Amino acid sequence: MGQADLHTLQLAGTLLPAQNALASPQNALAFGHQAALRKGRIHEVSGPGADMFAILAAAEQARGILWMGLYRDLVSLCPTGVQTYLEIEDLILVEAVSRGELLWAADQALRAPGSFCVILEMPDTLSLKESRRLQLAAEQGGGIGLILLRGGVSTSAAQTRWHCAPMVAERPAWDWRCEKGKNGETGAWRVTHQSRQQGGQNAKDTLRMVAAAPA
Amino acid sequence: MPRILSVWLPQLPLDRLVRHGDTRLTGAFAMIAEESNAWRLTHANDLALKAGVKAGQALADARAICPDLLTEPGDPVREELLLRALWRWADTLSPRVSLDPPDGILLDITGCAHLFGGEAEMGQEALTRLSDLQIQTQIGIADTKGAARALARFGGGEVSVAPPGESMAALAALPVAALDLPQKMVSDLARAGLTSIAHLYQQKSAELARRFGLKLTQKLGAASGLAPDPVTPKAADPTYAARMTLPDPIGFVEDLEAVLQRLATQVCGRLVTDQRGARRFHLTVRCVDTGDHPLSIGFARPCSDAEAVLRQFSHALSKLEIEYGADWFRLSAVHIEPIRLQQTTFGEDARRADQRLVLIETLGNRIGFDHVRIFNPRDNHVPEHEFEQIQAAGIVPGWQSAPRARPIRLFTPPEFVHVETPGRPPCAFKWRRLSFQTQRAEGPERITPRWYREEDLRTRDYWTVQTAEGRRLWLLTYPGDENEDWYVAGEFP
Repeated sequence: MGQADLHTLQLAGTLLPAQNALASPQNALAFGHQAALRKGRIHEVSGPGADMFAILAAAEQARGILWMGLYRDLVSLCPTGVQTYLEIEDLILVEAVSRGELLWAADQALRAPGSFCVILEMPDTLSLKESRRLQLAAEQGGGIGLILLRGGVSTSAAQTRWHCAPMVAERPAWDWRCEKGKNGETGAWRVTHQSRQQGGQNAKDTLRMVAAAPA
Repeated sequence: MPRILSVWLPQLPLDRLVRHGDTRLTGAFAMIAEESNAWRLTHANDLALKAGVKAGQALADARAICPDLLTEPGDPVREELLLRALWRWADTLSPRVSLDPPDGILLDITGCAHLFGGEAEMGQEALTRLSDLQIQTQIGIADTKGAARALARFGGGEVSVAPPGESMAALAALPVAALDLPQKMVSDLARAGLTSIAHLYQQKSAELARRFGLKLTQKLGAASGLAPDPVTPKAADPTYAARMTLPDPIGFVEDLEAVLQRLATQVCGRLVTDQRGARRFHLTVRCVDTGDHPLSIGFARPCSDAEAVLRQFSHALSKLEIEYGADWFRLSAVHIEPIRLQQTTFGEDARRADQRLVLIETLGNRIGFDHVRIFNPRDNHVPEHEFEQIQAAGIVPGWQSAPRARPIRLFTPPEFVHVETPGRPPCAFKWRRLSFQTQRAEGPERITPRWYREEDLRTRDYWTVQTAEGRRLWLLTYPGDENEDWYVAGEFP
């Protein structure tokens, strides 16, 4: 327990029916069987499984993870649970007292050299202007921004938007649905967390999310 | 054998005024201080002494004796500043100098005297130089601190020298008060017929100690060289600070930054030379109309980089409201620590660690260092006390993984659940206005409270519940409680 696993996520389930109808050819083309999060971009995550999406994505990043939020969001974060997926030493918590401070901190962290992984717990919707600024900051710093949308979803400059929910299964599983992708890379995956299993080489500037096994 | 030179400045407060060119001192003048609700004279000048005034007299008596007497209350702070200035000046005589407040300086002159042509000549030299500074002085030179002090104060001449090894003989004729004893002990000794130090030599020290306390024998032993009593030079801690005064006030941010740039270059240059860094920098900006504005920044590690100081201050400076300009600036570095130089241009790890610290500084300076935190493990079995959040700055993160699987979200206090279909755990319940059905449950995991602490002393049963809706919750109940309430204590991934 708790040692540094290089986690491999396996594409276990099938595509959701709705997704099939929507865009399975594009999905197959754009993603193959791999979901990838581009660095130097911000990505939005919503739904009850958003925490887990952020944790697994950050685990791929492996270093320099900042978890930002208001007090009420940070106080409930429990490292004794997160330690299974993530090196707790890499985690820095940033507690802001206001929305403005939170956005400033996220902007600074994304802009800073060192390509940090910034997990931002957004208490309400992010306006288009704000998300553009964060996006520009991420492009400058080369890090990755994961915005956990606790409020509503709105038009934004994010590269992708995901909806994540835990699923009933034999072992912990999640449904990740990519609802928006600027390059058309939408799709849906059922993901389980597997212990150490080495995946392939990472493409440059991407963060590997799902090491593939064909669906 | 060590040789000690004691400088006594008997009229230090008066000398301070003389040096300031106070014209009142051409007549009878005295310094006064309030002692147990009465004003008393502490120092009087020559004219006042000639008129019959004495130090220690009540002010009213002194006025009656000498109606022309002018007085002023003493200013201990300024007097101490003058004494400290003289203490720094005394470096010209010997490298080991210590303060002897309120009106003395002690120098260890072992091996120094020959540079001045001998001990008496050295004393004379010090006397001349101090009188050039308009300061009255008496000097004693002996083998020990106590003897040198006694000779300076009670030796009679301006320079009293006890030859090496003859300090005890030189002290013999002096009164008991020369040993720097409390006034009460001096009068007790006088009542016993012991008025001079020679009288004390004739007594057994055990008897003196029994009757007058160990303090007397300690002082006597130290003065006669039987007990060690070295001069401990008080190291002058270097202050890393710089200030700048401008002929005209400035107000533009660019100008302020230019001033700060100069100050920071100076302060950091000195820090770099000494291989030190500061964790905090204070900047005082004195505006012409609104007074001092203190600004301060912190660093996650000792810093001596002027650019970084400038960068971190830029936010604080831009928020500063200056209407009519500022003309006085002072930058000081505090919390000085030695810097361990580290190469960051080679190797990924070092550079990453460096970038991490820079980010912590940037965030901490704006939103507060207490708001940038890391997790720290704690040795405890209660889920919410297995870890804590501590300030990230200045701490090397370390995490020891906890032995048990816990949820990734932990709600403290646990959130109440509306049970719809009871069970153990409940088959259907409502939490946060959402309905859940229990599909699978594991448990209970029983956790007993920390009885040794004043807290909730109920035993807890935790259940891991897989709901039909997908979410995996950690339900909590208190067995043995009257009403079987259920709570959500956390959420698994």
